[in-house]
Amino acid sequence: MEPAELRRIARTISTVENQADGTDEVLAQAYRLPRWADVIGVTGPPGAGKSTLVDALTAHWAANGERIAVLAIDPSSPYSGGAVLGDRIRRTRSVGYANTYFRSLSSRGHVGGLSETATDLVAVLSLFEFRRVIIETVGAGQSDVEIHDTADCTLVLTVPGLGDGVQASKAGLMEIGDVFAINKADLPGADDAMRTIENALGAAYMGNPGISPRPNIPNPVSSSYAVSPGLAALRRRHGNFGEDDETWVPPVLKLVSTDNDGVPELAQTIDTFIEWSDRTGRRRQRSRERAYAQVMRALSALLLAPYARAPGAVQIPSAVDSWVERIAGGEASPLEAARALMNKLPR
Amino acid sequence: MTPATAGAAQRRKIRVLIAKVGLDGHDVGARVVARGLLDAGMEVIYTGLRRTTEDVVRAAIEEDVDWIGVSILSGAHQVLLPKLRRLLDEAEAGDIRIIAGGIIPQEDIPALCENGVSQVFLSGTSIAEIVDYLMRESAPQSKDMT
Repeated sequence: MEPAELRRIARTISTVENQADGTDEVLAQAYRLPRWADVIGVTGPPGAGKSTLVDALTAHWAANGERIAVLAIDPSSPYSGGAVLGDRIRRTRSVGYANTYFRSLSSRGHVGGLSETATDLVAVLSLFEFRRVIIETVGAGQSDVEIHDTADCTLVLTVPGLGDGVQASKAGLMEIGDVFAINKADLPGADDAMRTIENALGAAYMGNPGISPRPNIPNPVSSSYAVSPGLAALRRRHGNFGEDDETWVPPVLKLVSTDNDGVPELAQTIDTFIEWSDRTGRRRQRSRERAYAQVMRALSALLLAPYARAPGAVQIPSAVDSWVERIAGGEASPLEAARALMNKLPR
Repeated sequence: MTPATAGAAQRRKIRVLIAKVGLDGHDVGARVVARGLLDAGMEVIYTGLRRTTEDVVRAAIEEDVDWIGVSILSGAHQVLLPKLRRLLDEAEAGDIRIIAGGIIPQEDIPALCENGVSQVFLSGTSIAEIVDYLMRESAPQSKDMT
């Protein structure tokens, strides 16, 4: 890409990120594209090596001539609204490819691991004919799971030594992976970490890692058992073993990203998943979930707009301030305030 | 004003690329400045060490920054800073402005300023001074910023 084109892309992203004039037109066009870029989400705890892996994957795909973009999100300060965005430091292997674009984004106060406009920006990048977009989430805590309906393939990255089997059984991050990877697998404990995740997955999945065909024998687990909501959600994402023609079992791979060890295999696994997800209609189902989540977010932003405090501002909007004063003084409850304010919303 | 554009004025942040160019391995100063600008509400992108001027220009364009802050302690400022300016101008990114800090002799400053560096901050400069400068100088170009 020539500098002029990079500038155009960068400025369009700024427009949408700042919700400046022109945003509505850009989004109206972008969301009407017949097809978006394949979105790969990379998430995991701080220090797992997300930025280094994203750089390695970018270089891997860019070497095949693919047009590829990265959106790397880091947290904003809750106090100043500012941010130090450091994911670019690891852009060393991919920087030489002219067919790549890298943008650092501040979460700008948004919780959930992404920024408010991240999904919109995927649409915008699709408008600029990117074939693939990698999103790097903020260093994720256990509940930063918004990526799971934004990405077509979510990679959960972890490292040896973070905790025992109980951590892997917990809700949140461990439930959203389409592919799992242990980075820094040259460190002691990599096999333990791998086994821990595989065991946790084994409680929910049948079949071998990757694509499993329907077995010839009937499902040994009687279908008369009630299906728990958690299991039902996994089946919606990855299929129901014994029922569907093909199901997906999230593979767990070992990597040393700094040496590129395991990176080509990981890239292949991601492609296999996206191809499977496309072919079986799961991808379309996921994009419906994504659309619903986005409508809800946009709706709540529009509804809250009259009362929302500007990012970084200290002043509480006056309509809310009198209620805040009464709540702080022990004269009202937040729920009473919310009901009263809702009734005053402009129709 | 449509709902989508409401608040756009407040959403716009000053974006600054903090850059280390050439063979210069010390970035404590760069990181202190980055932290100070964060505290002032700016979005700071750090390039990491030992970048080429070409890398820095590419980063500045991709990140759509208003400023590049170059920390330079290697003594190569008279070569690298004018080159950075020239590459930016050639990439039609003349609106991206450069500030510099680090070990720079007083007598070199006029030549740097003539060659497209907006301001040089020598060691001993307070963060507040840099923040003040960026806030003041960013305001007229971006009228939507309060």
